[in-house]
Amino acid sequence: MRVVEIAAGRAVAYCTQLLAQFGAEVIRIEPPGGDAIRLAGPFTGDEPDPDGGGLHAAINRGKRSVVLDLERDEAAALAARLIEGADLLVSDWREGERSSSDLPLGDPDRWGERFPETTFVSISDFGMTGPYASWRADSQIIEGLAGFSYVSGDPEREPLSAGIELSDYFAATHATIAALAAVAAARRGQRAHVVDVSAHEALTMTDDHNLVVWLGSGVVRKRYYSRILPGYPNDIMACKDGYIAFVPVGTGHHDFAGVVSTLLERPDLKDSPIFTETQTRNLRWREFDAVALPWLARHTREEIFRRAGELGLGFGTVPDVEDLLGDSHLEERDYWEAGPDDVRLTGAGAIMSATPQRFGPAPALDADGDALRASAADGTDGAA
Amino acid sequence: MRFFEDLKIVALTQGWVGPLATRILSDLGANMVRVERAFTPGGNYGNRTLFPPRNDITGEVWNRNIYFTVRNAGTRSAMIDLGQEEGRALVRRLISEADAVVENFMPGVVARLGFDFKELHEQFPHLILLHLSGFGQTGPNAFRPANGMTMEPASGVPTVTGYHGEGPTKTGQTWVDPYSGLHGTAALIAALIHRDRTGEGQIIDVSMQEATLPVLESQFADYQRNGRHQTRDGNRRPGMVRGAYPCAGDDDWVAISLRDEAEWQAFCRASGHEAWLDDPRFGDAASRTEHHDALDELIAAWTRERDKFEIAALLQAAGAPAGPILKADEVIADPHLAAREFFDDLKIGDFGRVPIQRYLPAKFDGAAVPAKGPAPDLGADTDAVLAELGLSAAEIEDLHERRVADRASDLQSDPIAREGTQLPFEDYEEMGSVLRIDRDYAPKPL
Repeated sequence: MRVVEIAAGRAVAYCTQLLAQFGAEVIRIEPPGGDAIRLAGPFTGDEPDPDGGGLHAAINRGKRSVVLDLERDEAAALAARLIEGADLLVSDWREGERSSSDLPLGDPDRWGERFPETTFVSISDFGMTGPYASWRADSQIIEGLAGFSYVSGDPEREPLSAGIELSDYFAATHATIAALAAVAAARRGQRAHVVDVSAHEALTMTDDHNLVVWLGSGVVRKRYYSRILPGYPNDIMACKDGYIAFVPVGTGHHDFAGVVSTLLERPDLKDSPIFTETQTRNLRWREFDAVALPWLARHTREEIFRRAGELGLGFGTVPDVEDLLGDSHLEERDYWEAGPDDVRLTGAGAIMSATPQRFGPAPALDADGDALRASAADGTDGAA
Repeated sequence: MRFFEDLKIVALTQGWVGPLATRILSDLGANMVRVERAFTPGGNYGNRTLFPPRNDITGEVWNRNIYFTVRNAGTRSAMIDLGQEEGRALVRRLISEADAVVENFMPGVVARLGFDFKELHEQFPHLILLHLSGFGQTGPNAFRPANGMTMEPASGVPTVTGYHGEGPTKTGQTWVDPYSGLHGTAALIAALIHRDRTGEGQIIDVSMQEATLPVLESQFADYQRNGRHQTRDGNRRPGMVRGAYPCAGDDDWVAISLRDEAEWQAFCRASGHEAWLDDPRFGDAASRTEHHDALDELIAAWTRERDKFEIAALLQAAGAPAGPILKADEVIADPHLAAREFFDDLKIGDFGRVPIQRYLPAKFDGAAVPAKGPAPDLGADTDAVLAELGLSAAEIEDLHERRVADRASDLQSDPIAREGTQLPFEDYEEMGSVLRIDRDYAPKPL
């Protein structure tokens, strides 16, 4: 599978990163000086270096890099030659922008005629059509429109967005599915020329909890300490040496009251409605907290997990990046990939027995430029 | 675009991560057969009995659930008793004729039922076998119970999600479920491309934790390169003016995200605050970050008396990123989603028709990928699936009589299940986790 990426932000880069992991050869067309991902850092010692950024090292792995200034017709013609030999072009899309006779990126109707063998996967904030198509957004704005942030955070404070660029990652993953489906279909003789992926829709698709409650009962949920209706406890809570997710995922037992009152060393409360009745506990959760929080404050994460495990409760860890990098489970599964300067990079999102995911180093800016420009100019495929 | 109409997939799924993958593949055309448990009174049917719509008349909660519809629309339901060897043999036969199997139970569960993926792979090397689980099929945490609420913390994301200077928090959506389900779906299609070329199937092991960790790539890099733990800062981002601001209305908010100088200037001009452009506190990105608290107060004073939709439209027209923060009913009514036909009206049992979101909202040459239809009634396709396996009408009838396989009409109304799942929304409204209840709300008629 051969993929051309016209660099255009995180969602596009992560989509082609996933395609590269699935075995695609990815050619990354970048503007002079490199794209925003190269400049996003984090840099060692905060010294900017377009080849040395942490995000670039992670989500441009195994790709090839060529610099082409697509504002210039000659460069656009070379890009078009590279695209002609590819299964997929992945880029963003903005109405009317970057359209030339060689590269009709802003004109999906002409795409199939110009590139009959290549599917254009467009990833944009709001898709190619509709009243918001020209709107500008980042993840916070999309999380707001998707119904996501209204239910995140505390009831008396402002809605909270996630601490990561969530909409980019959802858009990238949706685009990867759509791109792979388009390739599979094309090889079976059914080609789509233009695939339109909207980050807004990719995230709104996850709004099950809110939509179901509204559509079934006419009830509008409000953020309430980021809890999902119903069920308490399901919060992240402080303990002696950090935090734990107090989410007692069952292992088949139904005696919440008996097990949790034992865990909290309050067997006298096992018949209390706060423990025995789910809805009572949901409503009078502060009374539950008054018992649970002091106990948690006296115990370490390890003690809590051991004891909860003995009682058949799941609970959740709340690891930070340091914990995760040293996590024995991930170690045993050989998860991490080696990056530059002994830095660990994340590994495969799916362990595949016949086609293991592939990783390579992220390219220096224009590392493959001479070879790719020459091959585009003389019409060879420029394969590495 | 039903690209995969030639595919047959067996779904042994529950919760969200598994059904998400199987609904997308069904939407893409696959003949998706869900194997479901035979009915037991008072039984827990997961999505089929979670949060049933109000006005339940028939007691058949399992056929009128919106959660179940969202996650399983267009699939088929075969009710086969896996507690009986004969039922397990039928499902093995179903699998042998399929192209793929998707499961998301605790590691080891499907093997104990007789569907060990390694054995299936040896016996039927064409099969694509997808495991989805919290921590993967191997390793010391493999058997740790997991769901979306535990896997968001386990992915490390709460370390950067929360209000400034306070503890980590989850978001209000269990997004790691769908996110990792998407990764599993992509892997299955990649495996299909490989199989189309070579004939070779494979086993895929998706760990929800591992699929999600790449969203923290910058945080991993900063810690390893600079020893820095990035932490929680509400809605802010370094170098940006970014926040959620109160508006006129009932708990209404607008999100504003100004990423660069041009967007900052566009915002100041559109909001009528050109004077801020000359304010030394806001002269460049660094000083705006330093004085973000003061700026937030000024912005809120402007937004507080205005409508969130009007603010967003005004700022967007000027090139400044903004958007209303929507409640559930407003998401359903969003004009952009409507123009893009993001929702399809689907029938929910005897409840009515409601708009159900697309699970693969991408458009292919302008054509959408809607669900094939409503979710199946429990056991609706049992007979058809058995007939497709070559069983005669008499053999199927015999299986029914011995309760190896059930059909929808074998089920009885279950008032216990109905009673047990109603939620006290009025109490939640008083407590504050429900904003409002629209007592006139009704679904569209059937």
